[in-house]
Amino acid sequence: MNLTNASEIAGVIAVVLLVIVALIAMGALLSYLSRPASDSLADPDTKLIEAVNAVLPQTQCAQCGYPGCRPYAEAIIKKDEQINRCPPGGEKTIEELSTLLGTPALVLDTTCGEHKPEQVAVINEEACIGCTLCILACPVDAIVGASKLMHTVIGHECTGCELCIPPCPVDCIDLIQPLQSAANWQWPRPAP
Amino acid sequence: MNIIVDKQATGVNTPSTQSIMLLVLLALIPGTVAYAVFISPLVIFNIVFAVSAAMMLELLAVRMRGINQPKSIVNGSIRDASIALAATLLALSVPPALPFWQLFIGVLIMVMLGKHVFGGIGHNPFNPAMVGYAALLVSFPQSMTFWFTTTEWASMNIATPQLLSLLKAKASLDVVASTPHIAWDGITQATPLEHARSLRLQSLQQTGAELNQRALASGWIQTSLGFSVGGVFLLYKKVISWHIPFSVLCSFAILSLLFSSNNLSLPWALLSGAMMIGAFFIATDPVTAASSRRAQLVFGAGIGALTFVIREYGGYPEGFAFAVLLMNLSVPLIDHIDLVMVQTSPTQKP
Amino acid sequence: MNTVLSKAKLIKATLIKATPIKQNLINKRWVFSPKQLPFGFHGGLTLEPKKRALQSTTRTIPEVQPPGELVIPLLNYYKESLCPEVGINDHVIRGQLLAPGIVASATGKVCAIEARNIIHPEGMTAKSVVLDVIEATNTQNLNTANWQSGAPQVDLSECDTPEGKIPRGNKPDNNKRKVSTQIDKDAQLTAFLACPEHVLQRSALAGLGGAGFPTAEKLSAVTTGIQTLIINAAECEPEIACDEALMQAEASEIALGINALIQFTQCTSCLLAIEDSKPAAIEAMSEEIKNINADIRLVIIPTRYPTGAESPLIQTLTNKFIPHDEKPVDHGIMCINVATAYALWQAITGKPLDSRIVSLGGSAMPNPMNVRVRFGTSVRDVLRATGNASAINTGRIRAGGPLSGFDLSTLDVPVTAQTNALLAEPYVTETPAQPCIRCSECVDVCPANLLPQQLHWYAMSDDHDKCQQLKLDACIECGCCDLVCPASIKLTQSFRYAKSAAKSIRVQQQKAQDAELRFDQHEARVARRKQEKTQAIEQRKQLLKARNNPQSDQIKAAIARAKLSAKKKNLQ
Repeated sequence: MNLTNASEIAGVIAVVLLVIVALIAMGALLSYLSRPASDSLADPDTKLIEAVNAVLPQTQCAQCGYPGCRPYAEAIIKKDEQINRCPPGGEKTIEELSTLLGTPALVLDTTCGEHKPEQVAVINEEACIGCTLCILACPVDAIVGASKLMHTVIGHECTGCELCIPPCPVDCIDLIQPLQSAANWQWPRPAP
Repeated sequence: MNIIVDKQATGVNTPSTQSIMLLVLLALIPGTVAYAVFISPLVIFNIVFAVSAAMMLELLAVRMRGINQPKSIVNGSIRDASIALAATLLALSVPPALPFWQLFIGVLIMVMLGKHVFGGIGHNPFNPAMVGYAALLVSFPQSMTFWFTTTEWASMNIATPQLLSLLKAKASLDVVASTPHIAWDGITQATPLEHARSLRLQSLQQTGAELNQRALASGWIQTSLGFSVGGVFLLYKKVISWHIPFSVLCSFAILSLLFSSNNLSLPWALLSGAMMIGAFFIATDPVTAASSRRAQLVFGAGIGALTFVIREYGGYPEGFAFAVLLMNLSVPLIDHIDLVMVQTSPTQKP
Repeated sequence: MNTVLSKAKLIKATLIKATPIKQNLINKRWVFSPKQLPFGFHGGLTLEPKKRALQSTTRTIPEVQPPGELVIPLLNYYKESLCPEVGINDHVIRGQLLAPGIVASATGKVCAIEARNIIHPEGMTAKSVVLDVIEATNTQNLNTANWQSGAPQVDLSECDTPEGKIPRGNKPDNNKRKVSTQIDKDAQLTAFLACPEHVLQRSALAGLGGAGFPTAEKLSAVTTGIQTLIINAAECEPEIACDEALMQAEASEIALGINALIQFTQCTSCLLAIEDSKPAAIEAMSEEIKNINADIRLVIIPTRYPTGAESPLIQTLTNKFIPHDEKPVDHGIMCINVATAYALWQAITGKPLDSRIVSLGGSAMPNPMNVRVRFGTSVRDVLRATGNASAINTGRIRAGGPLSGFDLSTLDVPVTAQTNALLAEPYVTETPAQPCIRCSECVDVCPANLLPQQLHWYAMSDDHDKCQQLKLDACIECGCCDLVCPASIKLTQSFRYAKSAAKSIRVQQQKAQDAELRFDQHEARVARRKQEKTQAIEQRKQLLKARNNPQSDQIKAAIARAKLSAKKKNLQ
């Protein structure tokens, strides 16, 4: 550029200033347009706890060391607990939690327990003595019965948490895989 | 598992991927014959070389990738003639005197970078033939713009080099001997589009009649007519649908009528360069075009518009390849907008 | 009652001039349909209407005599297991309820209630009632001669049971209604209209178009008024010809059933839809519906593949689009299959649904025909009784049509209300799937206006949210996309896979929510009990303290009383 006189210099400076102002204005406009949709930053913890709780399998087995799934969810958010302490959830739950929270996925902590496929408790009615100890132990009230009367597990309410097994004095409770029926059959994946 | 949907029992005769590709190759024959007669028979050698090189490279690529793939897909990707079709289109796009070693590089880029690095057939976002062409155009600009026609040479009383010597030059690996603009210095001829562009750059004007005369003499018009015959055949056989060719030609024609600065009349403009072969064979490649019919109309219109812009205002005489590649880039966006429209269409509740 | 007393009209609602259906013509586009029917639907295919089963149709439809053993699965429409109302070694009579919505198809003895194979893509088992049939005492009935001549079914009045002879058509607790030889149609219809639940609950009616939806549920879901009743006689799938045969054989009874439906729903107009490739059926029905005193029209619709599905049919006839998550009854439209209308009339006259017409077809079936089969007859017995036993070893047997059915892995499975056809096809190797080339042929033919290409990508990568956005639930699983795909991709199977995977995830999430709710209630109850316990202890402590406190009012009053009585005593 050949700047010959003051008016040209002034013109150049004016253009530069205009460009700077335009860029700032555009940046401000874009950041206003892309502001967060709601003011959900008010209480992030509660929402996160709900989200984590929704991922957990709700077995209420206490294998993670907490007396239920919601206390574990609260511990994950508030006390930075490890996300790999849930054996019934297994790998799937760990992956979902790591995606949700943005933390790396860990291997299941086997000191909490092993991952077992979906299971249901079944009481051997001939051996049951009607002591109600398992009824008191079940966290979701899936066992029906009364003192000196037959105890039965309601199959579709049982979460497979195994808390009824230790209290039973005659060891009459077994864990079985739920049966494949026409109602829960799934179409297989087509090959390839 | 047992058969669920029994195609054979309904007696329906759907074409397979292979038969679609073979039909397209069949449709290319009239245009190729016209090319060989009116421009140069070297194109046949180009096609044969490109197709054989492409098949061998495809075999290699599929075997390398085939370790983790089911066998049916590995075998199928060689059996369907998709790479043969892409190689033919590449060979028809490059000048006839292109040395074979440069053509091989183009085929290599087309097969490897245009197709297999993305996952094979069905997964590539860019049209493989155009990837190869664009790579060659920017790597070997002089060879890729060396066009001649035998009829023009004869009309100018230039002794046409013998076919054999041309072939020898093409086949040699010596850079000097093979590069055509060095070997035949002084007898380059421009395509009608290049001629029009150079006129524009020099701010010259020729009358429409003169331009048309030149265009006819160059042999390109006849070739394009041949390709459009093949295109109509494909439409008749319902291999391609009318949406893409129609929108490509329409948008180009409209812009040309409104804004074209040279006097090349519209039919000749439509019939020169890669417009016909592009509209019917290159832009309609199903893998890289938009998915639904509505989106295809937008896709084709974009290609026509971009081709016009590059021809009229850009640095290349023929901009079809770049137009196709740019629209391939925008296909996910067009599809997404169409998807949103499906979800909010009045006949279906969102 | 009837608002319009016009006679039935025959409307040729199409302008199809003689465009003959060419062999294997695939019509790809239905986007603008000005010349054909006034209304149409997007997509669909024109398939060659191969109806081999009609080659040997006689005026009456032959019936397969029930074999020695009938197996009746105790499953409802939702595939849930039902509790049987009979026990082992019980004697049951034909028409007796075995479970809610299931009747015994023959008189006999329950010899077992156990898991038996059912017609299922993977040959699953379900708890079934196994009947030893007493009806057919001589097994020589199972040969071809008997019913090619159209022999009527066995007269029940000749059956011997331990209780004595059973009069024809009598059900155990229906002694009041004796069916006389002169059936009083009007009286029965009036009785049905007065108390429809009685007939519907005892008749085990199910939709006979192939899905088997319980008709009782459908009819009792009528909340707002029904304006349009559509009788679906458009059997659009190749090889299935059971409705066509029924219309040719029993047109008068079908008309009575349609009339009953019209009066039940109080609809303003009734449309009977038949495809244009069924001229004999059109003729037969048009004769009969003239006698119905209501606004009923026979609409001839073009032969196009999924026109017989509910949504495309409603679109074709009324131009209304019903979203997949809404029911037609909420829009004033009810769609009933023509065979179900026939079955309803049979139920009104006292015969519950215990048999259906099955089309035997397919290119490897030696003796194609339509037969009436009692529910519970095994597929093997049907094939043997109809002279098709050789098909068992020379080909694969398919339950359902070529597009909506599936191959059977075992033939000892019972025919149910959903079995509309049994096809024998030669063994073929399925073309393996190639990668998708994004040609969009599937988008052109989808009758539900979906994007099968995109759905396939997301279904195979288990992205259920995206599938939901793309309306995977609106897919009617017709198979059109499978037919046109050049890469032979198993699209319909991938959609079924994604749907059942999404459903199982929903079921699991619901279960987890229920478990959390029960846990919270359990914890709340335990805490409340504890609190009540501590409160009770506190209260008792307070009470004891109060009782032993000399300053308390009660004690003071007691001391005062004691002093008074002591004073009194002293005075005396």
